Amino acid sequence: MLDERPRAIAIMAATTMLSRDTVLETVERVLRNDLKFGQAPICEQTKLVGGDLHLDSLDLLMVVTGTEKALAIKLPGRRIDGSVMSTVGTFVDFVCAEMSTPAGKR
Amino acid sequence: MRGGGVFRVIENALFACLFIPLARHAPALSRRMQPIFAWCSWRLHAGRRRSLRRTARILLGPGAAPRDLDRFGRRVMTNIQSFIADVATIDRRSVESLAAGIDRYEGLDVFLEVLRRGKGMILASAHLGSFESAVAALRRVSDVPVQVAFARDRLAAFDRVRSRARRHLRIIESPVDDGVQSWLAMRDALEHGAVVAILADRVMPGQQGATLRFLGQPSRLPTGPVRLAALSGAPLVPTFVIPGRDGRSTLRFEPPIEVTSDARAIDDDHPGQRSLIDAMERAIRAAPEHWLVVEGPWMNAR
Repeated sequence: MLDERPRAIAIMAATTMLSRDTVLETVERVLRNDLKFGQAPICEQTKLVGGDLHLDSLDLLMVVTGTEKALAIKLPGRRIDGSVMSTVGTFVDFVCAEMSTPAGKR
Repeated sequence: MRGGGVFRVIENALFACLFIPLARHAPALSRRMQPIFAWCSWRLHAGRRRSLRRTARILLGPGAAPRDLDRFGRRVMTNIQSFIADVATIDRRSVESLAAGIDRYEGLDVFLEVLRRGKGMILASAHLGSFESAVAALRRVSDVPVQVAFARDRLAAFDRVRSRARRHLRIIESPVDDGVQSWLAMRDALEHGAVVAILADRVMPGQQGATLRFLGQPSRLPTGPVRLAALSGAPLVPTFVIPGRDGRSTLRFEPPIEVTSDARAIDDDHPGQRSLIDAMERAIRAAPEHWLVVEGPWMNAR
């Protein structure tokens, strides 16, 4: 039993990493395809608010709805504030945290 | 209701300490004072005069005499004063008496049919007539939740009475100044079949808008209504309160616009945006002096 625990933790960690990568890829895809940023450099540090992308609040709504649709999840709008939408990374963290709760899954 | 610096501070104080208390507690006196307030607003703010003359030129045509332009501007200012005084007293009146301000309906069957579909609906409008009277009139036929997208006004005193009026009519406020949270709240409300009301003739804070042809002029207009319709799947219903010469108003619902095309690339060729602009132009031309916009959305230099 004790021997199994490190393996289980390793699997959990790998799953979490994979999920985060998937979410990051999804958000990047939404920005490139839905918001037409094409080949623009987008990474975790890319600012969603006040950055080079010049996103307005409706663009941010597109980021949220596009991500929801792609991942088949529903995000709680009341908790999505300026700090969540600060950068691609902070939004990805928020989505991952929401996906880990039962309410986050559709 | 926009102005700069010291003028705005004085105007805010006047509204908070004189105009709004008068409208609420001595409406008859307030009505008699309105021409004086309107005259002051017209005379004391050169920027407003310039903006209103420009709008008058666009709406009345190049042949309009300077005297006609000034008359138009003063009437718009008077109508703005009446509108503010009206909003200040809404919470003191019954829903029935507010609804009585509208005695003609056009396309009500359109509204009811879209409502029956249960997909929510976006009522896109312009700064024409009393939105609150329209909601009161809608309350006669439906108890559907109504949410309004709005930008907080620079006149804090006006903002307070407007919020009070909306609470009275059970209208849920979504301040777009709060950013994406408000848009998500509207999207969620639409998913639950609610009505979301939104103005389509002025770019609100947090939006970029798009350069579009409006009333024959290159203008900066909001794309929020069309984009929200595209993202939520809710139809857009252009809706206007058109004041008549007899003091009564018509509540007009235009045919619904289903927005299926791209939600970001909005230009003059976007069919949903074009249909909305056409509907706004018809409504504004029907009652140009009641289009309560001091600074028009025009792009070109003055």
